[in-house]
Amino acid sequence: MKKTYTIVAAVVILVILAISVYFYSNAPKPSPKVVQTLVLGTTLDVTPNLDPGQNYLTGVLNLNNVVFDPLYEVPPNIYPNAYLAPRLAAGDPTVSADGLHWTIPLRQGVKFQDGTPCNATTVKYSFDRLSNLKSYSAWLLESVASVDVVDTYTVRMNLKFPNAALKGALTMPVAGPVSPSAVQRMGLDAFGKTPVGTGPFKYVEWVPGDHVTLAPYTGYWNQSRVPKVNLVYKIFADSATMKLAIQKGEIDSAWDNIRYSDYPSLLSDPNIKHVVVTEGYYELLTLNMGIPNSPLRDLRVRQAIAYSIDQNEISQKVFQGIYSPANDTLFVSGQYPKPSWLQYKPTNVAKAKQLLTDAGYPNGIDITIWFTGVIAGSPDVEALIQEQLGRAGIRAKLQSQDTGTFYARFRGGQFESAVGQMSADYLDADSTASFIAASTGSYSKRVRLNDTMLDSLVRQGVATTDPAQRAKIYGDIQDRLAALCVYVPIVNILDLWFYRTNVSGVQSYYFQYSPWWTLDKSPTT
Amino acid sequence: MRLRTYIISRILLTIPMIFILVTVVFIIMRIIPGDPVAALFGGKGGSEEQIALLRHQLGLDKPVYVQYIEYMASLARGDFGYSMVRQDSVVTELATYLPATLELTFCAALLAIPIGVYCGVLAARHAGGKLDASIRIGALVRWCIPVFWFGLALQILVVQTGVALPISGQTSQMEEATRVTGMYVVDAILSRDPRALGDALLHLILPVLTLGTTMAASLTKISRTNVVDVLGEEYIKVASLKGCSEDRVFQKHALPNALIPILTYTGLQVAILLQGAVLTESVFSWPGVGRLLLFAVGYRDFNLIQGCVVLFALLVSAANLIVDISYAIVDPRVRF
Repeated sequence: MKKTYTIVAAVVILVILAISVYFYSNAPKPSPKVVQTLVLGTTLDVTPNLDPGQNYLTGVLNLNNVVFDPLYEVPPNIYPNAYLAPRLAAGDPTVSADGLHWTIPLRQGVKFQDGTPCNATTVKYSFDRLSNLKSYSAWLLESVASVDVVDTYTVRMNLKFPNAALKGALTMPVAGPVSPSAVQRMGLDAFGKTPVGTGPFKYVEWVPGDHVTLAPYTGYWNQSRVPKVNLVYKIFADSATMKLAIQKGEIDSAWDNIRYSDYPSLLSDPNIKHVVVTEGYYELLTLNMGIPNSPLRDLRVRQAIAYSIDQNEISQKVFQGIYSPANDTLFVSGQYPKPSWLQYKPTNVAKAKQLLTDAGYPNGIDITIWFTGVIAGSPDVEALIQEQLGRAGIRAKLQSQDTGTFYARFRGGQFESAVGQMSADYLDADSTASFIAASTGSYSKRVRLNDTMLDSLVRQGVATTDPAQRAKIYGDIQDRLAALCVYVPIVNILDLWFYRTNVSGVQSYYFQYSPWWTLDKSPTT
Repeated sequence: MRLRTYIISRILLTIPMIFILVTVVFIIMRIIPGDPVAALFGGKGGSEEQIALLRHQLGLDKPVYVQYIEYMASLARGDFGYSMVRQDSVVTELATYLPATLELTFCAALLAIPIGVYCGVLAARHAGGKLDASIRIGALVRWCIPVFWFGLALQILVVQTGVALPISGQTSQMEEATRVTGMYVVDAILSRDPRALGDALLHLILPVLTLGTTMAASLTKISRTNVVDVLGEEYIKVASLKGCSEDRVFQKHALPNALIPILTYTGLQVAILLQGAVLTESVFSWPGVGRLLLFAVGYRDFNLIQGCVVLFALLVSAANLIVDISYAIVDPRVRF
């Protein structure tokens, strides 16, 4: 009897396997497709919708950068000399003498993916819609009072105050025109699932939590940018699975959020290549100036911490040298670089101890550093920082918290010290300065930074269009931030974009400006 | 009690169970640290006005007891509420993800039950021997290995050995059958697409092995114990002494009696199976309710978490109800 059971079990298993393999390998293959499908793996989920006016998540920004056309763009492969170039705009804006009126010429002959012509009226509609939706994305246009249609292919943006950073803001995919007829026809919810723009790709399907499919828009106005492949944005729950999937050839590319500890095995894989992507952010340790009775209120204590942190050691031990030590206090990726932080280098434990003694803490201090798991390198970075601070007599207690609570408390300025990340939203120095230096900035509130000099400099920077003057102002901001020592920059975050050797056309790019229209894939693996 | 009365009473009993469960989850979600609005904005911040507006839109600015009453009232109408993060009704979200979970767990159970019971019976019949020891150690080892670790190990094994098995997803994008039920094996059959069928079956192999072997290991242990116990009963000895062949004694007297507690245990295993599905779906990027639940927890999407928990509770209740009813088939002495 037992022999019968064994035979039956073995036969059942073999039959299932045989059916799977037979059907998969021997069934008539579908006729060759006109274009290849390239699968781009990521751990960046897209939720709750794909509407550029409502979603500001990194994954959606990148998708929308190829489905929508912002007026301006940051061309690929130009870092560290990134600049702004016209995309849907036909040229640079003409700015009035008082800086309050921006006249922008638009490209002619552009049509949305549903055939609707794109012109000044649709651009105005899209900007008005973005403002009216009142989502997080709307802040991009907070300096804009109204938009006028000058003629069929010219719009004028009337500003509430001069804003030299507006051109940079207009590179954001959230500012890409949407098809008014599609919005009206589909309604807000349906439009959010497959929105319609003028970009080189169009949305085909979104299966929440699993994948987004894009197809080339053959009617794209710039024929040289019509994509050669269908694109599947495949969402993984875990970086480890995504790494194995690209090694196995199940996906063609691991585009984002590969864990840094997985880099070595991918870098040594002969079937996989990579490019470096500038993510536009850096990791930092915040030192809150405003917690009552905290020793961090004393500048000398903050400086002692700055002298204790060894960025090189963190870069080498935690990030295997891939992430470089950060020397700028205002990360602007090629715009107005000024390594103000070098004044705290090299690491000087003796000086740190002396500063603590001068501040009245000869026996060291106790501080609490908060962190959350989503920060790159966590918790290794925090553990190493704890060790480094300990060398100078600074006893750091590490406290982890879940992401939601962490950000809620962080934003409320409740942490004495925390490890966080600071990113630029778009290519303009003001994108970070207004967050990190102005007292109204959400990041400044996290360290209770309220400095009149910085406020004044930030206002000047955004109101000045002259590049030389702006370089001076943003240099001064960086010097001031380093002098106040409320942020200790740790490492510049880079991302490696991995792809299999049969994928071509991969270009490095600047954070959310992914140029996926250049991708191609040879049929053989 | 008649079977129909029993079924109705069991179904009615699930109502207070769901009520208590939802209340507990509701309270826990509000007590533990974490804020859905903060999680939604993440590191980007958001202005105070935007945060206040979002809190108002989501109804989070109301007192907790008001939120609770409103939620329970809508639940009574069959409305699971609105997902804060997905911005869609929870029912729609669950309907989207449930088929994948059903496909995975059903196939895992299909693998686990015959293998687990067979191995347990085999071990029991060779109790004390080498085969028994091997099966027991194998089951114990598998039982001790966490689902996520086992899944990851299988993936690495497949990648390193070059075996042509997919390691992630429910289907290859290029081979996707037309979505009808969301269970791609069924969809492939319905659309008469053999290539998609093969693709869907291949995608099932690793996750089903991961999930199914966990359940199989557990069933092996319980089956062995029960069969060994039954084989030691007096009536088995009497049957043997009366001249029944060993196989007949086993098939006619021992196995049916040993199956009853195994059946109960199998019903309870559905809960374990769903728990394992959360991790298995995460490791294999399987677009099911388990993965949705993890996502919802990450974003503190209260309504979605509660919806997933209620769904899991209903599935476990339904499975146990089916098991209870099947007693009557396995054991003619059972009356309702």
